[in-house]
Amino acid sequence: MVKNYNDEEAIRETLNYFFSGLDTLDAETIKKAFHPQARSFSMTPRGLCEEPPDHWDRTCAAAKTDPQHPFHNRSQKTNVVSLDITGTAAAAKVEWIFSGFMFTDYYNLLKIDGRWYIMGEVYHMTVSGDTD
Amino acid sequence: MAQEHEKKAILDTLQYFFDGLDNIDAGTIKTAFHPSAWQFYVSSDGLRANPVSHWDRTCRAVAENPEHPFNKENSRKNVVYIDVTGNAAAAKVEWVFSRFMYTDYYTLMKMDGRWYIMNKIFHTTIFEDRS
Repeated sequence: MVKNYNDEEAIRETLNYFFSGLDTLDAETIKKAFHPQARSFSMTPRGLCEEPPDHWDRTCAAAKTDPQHPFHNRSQKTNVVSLDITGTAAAAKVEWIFSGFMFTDYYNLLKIDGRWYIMGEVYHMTVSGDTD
Repeated sequence: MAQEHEKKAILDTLQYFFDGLDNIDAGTIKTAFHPSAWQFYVSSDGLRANPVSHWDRTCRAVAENPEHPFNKENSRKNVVYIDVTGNAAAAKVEWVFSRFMYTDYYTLMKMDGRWYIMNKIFHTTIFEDRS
């Protein structure tokens, strides 16, 4: 594993836009973590779901108008499980722990013009009690 | 274990990429990727973004250039890690050529019973001249 402390801190700063943006349901802050060309993928019961960063506008607006939305009910802990850096490329694994379920996210990141951006995201939701 | 089973299935997907690049066969390479996947990297000109179909052009260009490093040697593939959670996964692979190395990071998803690369980024490391 390549250790570059400055890049590690810079990547955590990028991820923190996502973490703090979701805490406050602030789409603009979340989108700072993502490159505009980034895509997020997940599997839903209806199949593959592909989302550009702009989906956070709708997602945050929907969560704000729904007091029952799980994003409000976060006994939340965000764990950066792993971070691996090679030059201008990096990968991170993050667990978002909500009450009753957890997202495991995998990010690919690139360093462009001196800062790190999420370029690709895939995630899986684990419901408490599920066995893998 | 289920995890080991999935890691093996992911290796099967990566193998399409390995074999395809060794044989300069775009069709085989593209079997490893989902059609919606993108490949990104940072060049001296900045961010480069390639859809999966770029492998057609890339393989044609390599085939027409006998001096291209892909024609001169097959790289050693070093699968550094595969990490799986449910139907999402990540992998890191080093493609080691004699004078340089690609470090690739992939995100993958399992759908319809098989794994696809959804995103690829890479960094090129040039080895110091050891002659």
